[in-house]
Amino acid sequence: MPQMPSERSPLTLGKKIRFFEWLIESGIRALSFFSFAAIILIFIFVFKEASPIFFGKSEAEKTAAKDSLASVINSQSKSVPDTSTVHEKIEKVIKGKGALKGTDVLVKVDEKGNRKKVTTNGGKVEQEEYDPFADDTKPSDTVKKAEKKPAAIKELPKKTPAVIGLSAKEKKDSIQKANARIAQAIKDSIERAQADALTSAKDKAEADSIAAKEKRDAQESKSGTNLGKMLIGNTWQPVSTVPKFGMLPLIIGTLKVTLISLLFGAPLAILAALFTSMFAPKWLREIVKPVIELLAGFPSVVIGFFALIVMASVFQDFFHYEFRLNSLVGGIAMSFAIIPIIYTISEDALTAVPQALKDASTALGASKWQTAFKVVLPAAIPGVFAAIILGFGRAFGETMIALMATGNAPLTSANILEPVRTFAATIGAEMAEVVFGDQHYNVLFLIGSMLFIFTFTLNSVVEFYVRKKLMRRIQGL
Amino acid sequence: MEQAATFISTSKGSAKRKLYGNISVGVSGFAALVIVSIVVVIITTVIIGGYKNFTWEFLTQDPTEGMTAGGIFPAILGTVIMTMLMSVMAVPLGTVTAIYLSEYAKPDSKFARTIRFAVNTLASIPSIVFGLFGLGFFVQFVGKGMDDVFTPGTLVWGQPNILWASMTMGLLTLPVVIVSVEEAIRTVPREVRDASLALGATRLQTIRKIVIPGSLSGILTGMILAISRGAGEVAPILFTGAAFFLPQIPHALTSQFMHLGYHIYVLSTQSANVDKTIPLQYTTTMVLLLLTFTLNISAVILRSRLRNKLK
Repeated sequence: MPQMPSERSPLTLGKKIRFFEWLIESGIRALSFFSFAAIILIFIFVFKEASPIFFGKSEAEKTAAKDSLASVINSQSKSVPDTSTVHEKIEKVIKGKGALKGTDVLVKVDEKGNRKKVTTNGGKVEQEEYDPFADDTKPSDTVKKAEKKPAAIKELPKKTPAVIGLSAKEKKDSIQKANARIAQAIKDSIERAQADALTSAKDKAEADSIAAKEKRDAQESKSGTNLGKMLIGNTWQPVSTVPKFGMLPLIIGTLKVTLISLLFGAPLAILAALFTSMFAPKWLREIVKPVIELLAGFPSVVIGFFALIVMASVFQDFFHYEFRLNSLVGGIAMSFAIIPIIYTISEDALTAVPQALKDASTALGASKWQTAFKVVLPAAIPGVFAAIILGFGRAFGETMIALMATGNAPLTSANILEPVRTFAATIGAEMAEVVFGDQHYNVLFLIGSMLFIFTFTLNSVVEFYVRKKLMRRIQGL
Repeated sequence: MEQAATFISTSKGSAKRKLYGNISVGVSGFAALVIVSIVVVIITTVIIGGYKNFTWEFLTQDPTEGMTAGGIFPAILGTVIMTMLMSVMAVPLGTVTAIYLSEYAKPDSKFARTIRFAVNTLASIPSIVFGLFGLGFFVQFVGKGMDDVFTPGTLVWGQPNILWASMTMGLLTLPVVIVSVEEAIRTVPREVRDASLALGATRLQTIRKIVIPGSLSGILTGMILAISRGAGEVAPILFTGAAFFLPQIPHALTSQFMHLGYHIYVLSTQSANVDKTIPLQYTTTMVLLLLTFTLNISAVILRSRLRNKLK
């Protein structure tokens, strides 16, 4: 050592500022903040794409989105005023084209410009609803055709029938059918519009004002009260000329699948955790534990594949029900994904119960099972609860299993043997075919942000409430 | 002792107690057995359905005849490239975060607690939300922004591609890396660190020369687990870059790619000839399972070796 210890006091040794190291350490600190930033970024960007539903589109966005139908309609109604002649017809009847077979659809436009769609069945009113989006939103196919034939555009939402609830497989078919029908409707309405334009020149001005009013109203109602109506409705029909985004069937579907998976998976996982932590001999534990943890390594697409190809057929042969893919198959397949989560977390909680408690219980004369069920399990209950909550969150957001094994039909029914569609599966199935900037696109992102908020809340509950309680129970008691 | 024990048990009705004991052990053991048999059944069905086609040709050839025959080479290659790109992003970032959490942050400081909470949250967000984020942020915001700046008017980055898919997946696997690296760093004994500091090394030097070499196997474990997760997840890449069939393997960061999991999904639900391709689906599933199991088992071995070293 060339330097004498006295020349450099040991106190200054660590305090010497090295610029380079300081730089790197600040870099480490900044980078470690990334995961927090990622959470915020995810929230912002998922919500940003969903926000037009709430706030309406800004003018800039409107012009920027070339696919956006609203802009097409606006520009065309300005340049070609006689398109709106068709609007003087207050009432229209579309026979046999309701969402249900054999029903008629009456489209009523009242004086205030509110458009009302009434589904009837032999004079009996089946369904009555407002269509706030009749003007603003239509699938992309309509847009492209409408650009060529502007005369038809106002007519479309009333004329063309809705596409009935789609499953993933039927989708392409029904889209093609819808396109054909749209084309037919366009032809019809062009002819009628031309005839109308010839006969009534006087009514033109009047019709124009009605159309303008209607458009204004539609735009106003879009961001206002009809938002709730549109999202709470019980029809999910995004790919139709009059898209409907009622989320009730999706909520029911998600809850059905999630609850089935929890009812099947949670007891199994918790009992298995009790078995390996309390009863099983060591050699058996060494086998069972890694095998169950192996299940966590299964890609969800593999579980979905197994459910789709093997389990669905076996279940159908066994129970003899109508639909091969339904919420029961989907729920049980989903439980394969949450069992390892619930098992691992409850096993951790159960083994964390202090040995002193178990010893005390045994010393008081309790048998092994009494200790397990009356001492260890109650002490670890917050941990088990946390496991169930996290399992619930996982099942709620699991996509691939739901997409492959639940049948994907947005039905509103309590029967567990009918196909269902979950939130996550809806995003997975429909996002690929949606038009960017479309209302459908925004609604899918809204579902995404709902999933985010939901799992975030569950995770926070576990993090701040349950863990603290668990710690207190185990340490203090 | 023995007398006392018998006394207690007889006084409480030994037959009933024994019965309850047997029932409880039986029921919980049965639950464990059910779970184990689920695992075994899935694995055996996939192997029985898939082993016939599991040949060298299947692994090394392109799909032919409209995906109803041929191999899955592009899907394997796409998965490998995607996971490699993903690791390039997730492993360094995860390691740095883990180092900060275990070496710099005070365990109870607000900053550290926030980051820990963020990591836990990141691990619990549904994978489909990552997919939406990838579409909204990487494709629509970053990609479109890059296009507007560099090549106005053309679509180069502003569409789904392998880079955006890998980055989305990297975000998803970040918590996996952080957790396993942190665990590994904690196995480096306190004394070794103190000795290094006592010899005059700075904190950064200690980390570079002592902590990171000591936890290399942990970083490797994290990487392996992340790759296994990335190879199996499909939801995040559904609309950020995966494609059903591509005539060529990905040659640039802007090209789309085929993915094993996505391949299974498409073959079993979206293709025109689902029944015709069932043998192919089984074999593809078998390949994917084989891949993730190999990765997971090697991670387990690495980890147990790490724990033994600690003892």
